[in-house]
Amino acid sequence: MSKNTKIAKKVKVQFLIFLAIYITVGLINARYLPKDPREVIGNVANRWIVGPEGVWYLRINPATVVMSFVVIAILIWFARLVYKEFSLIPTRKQAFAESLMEFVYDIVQSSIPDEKYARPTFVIAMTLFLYIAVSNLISGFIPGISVEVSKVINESGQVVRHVKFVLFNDTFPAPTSDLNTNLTYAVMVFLISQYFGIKAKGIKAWLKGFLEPIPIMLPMNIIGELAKPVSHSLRLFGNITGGGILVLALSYFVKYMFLPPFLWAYFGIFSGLIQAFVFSTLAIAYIASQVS
Amino acid sequence: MDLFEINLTAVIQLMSFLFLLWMLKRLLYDPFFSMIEKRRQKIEGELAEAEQIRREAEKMRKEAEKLLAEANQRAQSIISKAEAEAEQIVESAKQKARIEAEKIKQEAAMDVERQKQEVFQQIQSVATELAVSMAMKILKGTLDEKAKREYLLKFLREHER
Amino acid sequence: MDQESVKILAEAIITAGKAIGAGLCMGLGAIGPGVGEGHVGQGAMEAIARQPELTNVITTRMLLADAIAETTGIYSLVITFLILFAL
Repeated sequence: MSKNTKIAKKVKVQFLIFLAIYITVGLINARYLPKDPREVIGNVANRWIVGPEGVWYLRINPATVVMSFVVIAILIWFARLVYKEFSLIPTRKQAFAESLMEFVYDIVQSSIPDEKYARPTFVIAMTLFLYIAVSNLISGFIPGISVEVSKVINESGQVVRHVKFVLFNDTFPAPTSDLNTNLTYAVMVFLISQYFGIKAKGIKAWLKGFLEPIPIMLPMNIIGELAKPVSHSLRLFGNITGGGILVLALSYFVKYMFLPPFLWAYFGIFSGLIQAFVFSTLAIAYIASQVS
Repeated sequence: MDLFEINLTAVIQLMSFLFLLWMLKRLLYDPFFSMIEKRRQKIEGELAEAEQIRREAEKMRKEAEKLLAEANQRAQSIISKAEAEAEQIVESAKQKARIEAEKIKQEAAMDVERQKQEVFQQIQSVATELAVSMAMKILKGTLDEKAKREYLLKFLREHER
Repeated sequence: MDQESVKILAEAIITAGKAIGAGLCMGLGAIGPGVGEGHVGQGAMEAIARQPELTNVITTRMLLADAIAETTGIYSLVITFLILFAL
């Protein structure tokens, strides 16, 4: 009984601190908000890209790379914490990690019964889930440093980006709201599923699979296969980017006074976790459809 | 077109993802799978142990049952023996009593008989005397003393039968 | 009309077309996923009413089916971005 009240007190204190931070952030934002909405919303589609124009292999998105490294660092830190105290009788952290892994492993096993393919599929899907979930979470509901980029075309016709770092205006930039990340992962899942398909069925049966049910369907089947990575990546990209733009616009309209915590909670926690789950589940489903 | 630009970031993301995959496999998944395996083995071992213990208990139970049945049987036999003995004792006592009673009865009967005999003999002799004397009074003169007595005795003996 | 005003008019027409196109694209594109997700939700609710003990499984599957039904809506969102910012 006394323990419960203690915990409730702790939760209350945490909640008060959380509210205080959000109100402070709202006040700061309301004070320094640009007067013209176009200044904020007109720049939502711009990305911070460094490198010469038109040379793809020299251009880079620093925000995405840095955030992705941060996410990876957080994940490895957590994994090390769990790894250090791994034992037969799980501690709280280990129980959390294990229940998460068991949840994903059950899904993998129910769709891919073959242990030979279930293990690597689990490794890929679990890593995807963890990466996307953490990246959606830290860039979904934690107000932090965001990058505001305004593009200007100068006299010689070249695009000049003015990069401005903004504190507490928006959440951190999400690696998953960059198509580079999503398309890479989706194409990786696509290639792995095709590789597993060839390995499981043999190359003849794999090629024959494109002629099912009648040979006329060959182009349709190829398009259907190629549409998988496109829809897979664009789903995550659209959800996270669209959510971010929506949150930014709505937050601007209410001058950051009361909506952002709830919007960040919805788009960050709920939508972000669901999209992470959907991305990894679809990866499992694509691999399973090729293996079986 | 910033939103849809694909550049070197994709390669960096792939590399960092593979690194993350490798690290997580080392730190999380391999321990997880080995832990599952270990738990499975431990549970199997414990199940086997429990099975063995159960079997032992079953064996012991059977032994105890057997012992109990034996003891029961022995007790039963002892009781029946004792009962039989008691019965025998009672029976023999009854027999003895009956024999005793019979003996006493016989003795009494014999006594009575003897006394009767005595009385009878006394009565006989007295009656003979009486009858002789009466007959002598009645038959004075028809027969002599000796013949009368013989006749009377004969008569009495015939009647006695 | 001189050169300058023609240029301004053309830019205005382009902006108007972008706005109309983006609005129509997003609005029309949201109909399909809306109806589809409604169907998914209906099916899930009926299934839960019939078998309340399977609520967890059904909810998970419903979210997955929602995400897949959402795909066309996301496509129209992406096209809207393209129209607004890349055209």
